[in-house]
Amino acid sequence: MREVFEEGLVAERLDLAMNAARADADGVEVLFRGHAASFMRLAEAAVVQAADVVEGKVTVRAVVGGREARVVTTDLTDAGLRACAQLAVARAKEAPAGLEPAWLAEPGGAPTQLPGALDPETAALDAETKGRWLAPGLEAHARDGLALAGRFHTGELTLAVRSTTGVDAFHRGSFSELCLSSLERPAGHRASAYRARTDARVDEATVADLAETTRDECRRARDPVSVELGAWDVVLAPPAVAELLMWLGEIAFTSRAVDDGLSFVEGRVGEQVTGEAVSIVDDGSMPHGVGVPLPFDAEGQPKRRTRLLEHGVARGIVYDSASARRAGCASTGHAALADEFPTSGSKPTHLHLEPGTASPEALIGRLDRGLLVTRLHYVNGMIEPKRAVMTGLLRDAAFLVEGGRPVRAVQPMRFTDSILEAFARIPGIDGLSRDLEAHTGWFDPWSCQVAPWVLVPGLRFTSGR
Amino acid sequence: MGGLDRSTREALASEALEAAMRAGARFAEARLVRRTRESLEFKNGRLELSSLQMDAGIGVRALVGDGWGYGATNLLDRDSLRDAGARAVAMARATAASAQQPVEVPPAASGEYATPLDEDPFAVSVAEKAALFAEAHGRLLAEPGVKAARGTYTGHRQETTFLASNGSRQHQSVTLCGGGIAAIAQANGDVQQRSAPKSFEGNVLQGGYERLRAMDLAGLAPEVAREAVALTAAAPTPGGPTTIILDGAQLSLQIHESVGHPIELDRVLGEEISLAGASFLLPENLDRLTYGSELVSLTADATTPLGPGTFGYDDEGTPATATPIVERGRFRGYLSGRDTAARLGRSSASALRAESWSKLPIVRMVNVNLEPGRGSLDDLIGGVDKGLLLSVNKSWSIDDLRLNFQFSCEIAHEIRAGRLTGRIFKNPIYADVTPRFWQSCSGIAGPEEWRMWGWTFCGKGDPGQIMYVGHGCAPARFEGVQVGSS
Repeated sequence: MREVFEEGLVAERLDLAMNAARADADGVEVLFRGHAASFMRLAEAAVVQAADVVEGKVTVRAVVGGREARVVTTDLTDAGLRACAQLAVARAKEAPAGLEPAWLAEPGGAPTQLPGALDPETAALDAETKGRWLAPGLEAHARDGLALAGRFHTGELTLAVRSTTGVDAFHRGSFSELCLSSLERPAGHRASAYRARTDARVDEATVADLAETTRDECRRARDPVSVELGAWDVVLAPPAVAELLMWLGEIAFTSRAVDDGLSFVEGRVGEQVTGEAVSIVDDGSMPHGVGVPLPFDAEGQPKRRTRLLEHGVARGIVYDSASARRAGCASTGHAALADEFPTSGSKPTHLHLEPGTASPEALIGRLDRGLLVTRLHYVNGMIEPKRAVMTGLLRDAAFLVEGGRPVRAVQPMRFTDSILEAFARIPGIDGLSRDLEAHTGWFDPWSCQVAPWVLVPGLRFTSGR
Repeated sequence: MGGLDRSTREALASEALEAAMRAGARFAEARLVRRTRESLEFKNGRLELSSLQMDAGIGVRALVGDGWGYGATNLLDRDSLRDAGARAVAMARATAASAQQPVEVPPAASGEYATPLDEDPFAVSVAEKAALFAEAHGRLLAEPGVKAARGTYTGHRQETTFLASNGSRQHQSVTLCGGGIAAIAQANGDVQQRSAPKSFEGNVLQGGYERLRAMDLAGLAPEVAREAVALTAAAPTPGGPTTIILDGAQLSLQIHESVGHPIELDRVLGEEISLAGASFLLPENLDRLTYGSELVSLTADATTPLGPGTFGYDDEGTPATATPIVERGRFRGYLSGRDTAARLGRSSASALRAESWSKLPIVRMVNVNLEPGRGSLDDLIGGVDKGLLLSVNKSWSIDDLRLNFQFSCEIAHEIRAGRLTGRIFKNPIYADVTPRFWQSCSGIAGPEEWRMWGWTFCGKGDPGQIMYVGHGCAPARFEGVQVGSS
């Protein structure tokens, strides 16, 4: 294992930054995020991109007189961290008053390590080994005249938070994102199939299994046909459900969505908002053993298992410390980590649609005439968030199912529907599978969605090519 | 680069570059990048979030055989720089094993570029910026029915030192600035949002703080507030095929999704297939496909003033250029880098760009502009018997070949007999297929209506990269487009 950002070193760097600011601030919180990652992409049955990236950054959040500022730096030298700390203090001092006085969270007792979060072999996988594991799949696709595309990203993650209030949290984990697409050429214009896994551990057998499974399915997806638009009974595979879950998280379960009145949860806690089969929780401990665990958030607060929808009844949202105080409750450990789009408030990170009792085969077997949907493309949930109206397209091996059996691949077409209304039609707990998978849309090792297979009657398809 | 003079930056880049060459690269590039990004969020006239990101590091791209590899680090000590160079070579060996296309070493190119600006956005205090948004928010909140006012500010600077083993030596500093406001109204059991000058991040352009001042957010606020409230009582947009006019804010995203992405040559060649998808624009369409009506001409231009996609050199050192994409409706060209362009026997469109030091460069948009037509927006409206003017994006989605798209907008204004009636509709959606849509273009307003629109969160690549791009356009009219309401 590389252990680029060793625990003692990280603590020492954070303390240096914190101590450089604390004399001139009422409170200081310092956050370290780091990864040492091996990124690999495939296209046309070849490895086309390989990158080895070491990145560590420190965020200093200074509070002065109830005002706050955050400054992020990747300069981890003594001078760089001191400059960052002093700048955070200066910006807090000059900041105009916010909506409410800023303050820092007290220690929340975050666990230091979650079971299954760190697999040293996965953290240390190098490009040569990954290339060797992929080679049989690449060769098999080349033999069949198929393209194999996708990503195989692995590495180690480091997250640490310390503060003048006594927060002291450290986490090290591993991650693997393996997504493979088999495609007839020209790629994207003919048959394709997709399989993916996001977990803290990966091995050679998993790589081989995904490459083989997706190749088989691509063969079955040849010569897709057009089917009529309108309402279709569909079985959604976990990657498709995960993308809908991600959007539900964005539009409904953040503090900002509720503050702005745009969430369907706002003013409806305790009400039935969708079907009884639907229970959604956010749980960073990954209790089902799939996905990448994360024990605490950007404030070092433990990620608590948070009920969002329970048997279709709205139960609440996730909170960071500030939004929790406004709501009169405790933080659930969901202060946002991402800084590409820095935003205030809370954000779900590990949404789970709770499993049901069926097998995927049993769900498909219940379709007299319907569609089996592997994956959705370009879902957007911002059309009408109060009703969770979303749109998106079929992608990769969607099948027409007749008499409970997939019979033909179908051409892409677009759905536009209220997901709350669509999920209200799930026919009970046996409309969801026991099996769960973890997925991410874009590479994001700090977040994933866990989903079963789901039977959704009457999903509305609105346009095609 | 803060705290580092030019010779120090070059020395750091040289260290990594030489390490890559010593490790066995036949060619290598080193990019030392510092990004400074100030993000402010405002709610109801108050500062809600103040974030300053200072991100610096080095990325080395090394060529072994015909395989590229990439190594990057933010640790700028000598050992880490050398390690990054060596790791880039190790990565290149992994891709070289299955590389299928020959790669040529480019000629050297050296020079400088800096954004022309009047007022450094990083020299303007947070308090002054907050005052500008407070004034605009005061006007939004003065409208009864407005529940909340939102605002966002972005100041961005990217400084790059680029050295290559062929002797290339480049220094660039790109500065962007801008923002926007939104009113959220709640009434009649409905919630509606109106934004100006554009939704999400507002309009972010290349230049200094003068770009934000020129937007006159306070001046835009009263109408935005009135429309947000009026939408809560408006009828849903009626369904059916009709004539639509897209305002610049919406049309810029229409160009982005249905022109900008499908003309990326790496997508066309299958290199982005696993995540973003491919493109309907296979090479056999070049110079043959009728992309749009004869009114439609589009250019990928990395030199357009104010455009976020303007620079001196792209991130593999190719000098900025302009590339015809569509000429009088005919499909003519792609966005490309050196390697992808070479596969079609063409020159690079100077469009290989990277988010920062930690990401390897890939084909990205620069400024993909719709050339202006003639007349005013009123002239366009005057040519409509029955139709809708659609303004400001709310949602977007397009298939993996960039054919079937669906957009929703914040507001639809009714047009009857060549005039706006004053009636508005809520939740408008329109959907079509890319070539059919552009072929239906029946009018584009003239240079007096042409504006640059910046989008700073264009996502592509894996791991994902966020890029700032521009789209210059004037409002345009399209016939027989399927419209409806959610």
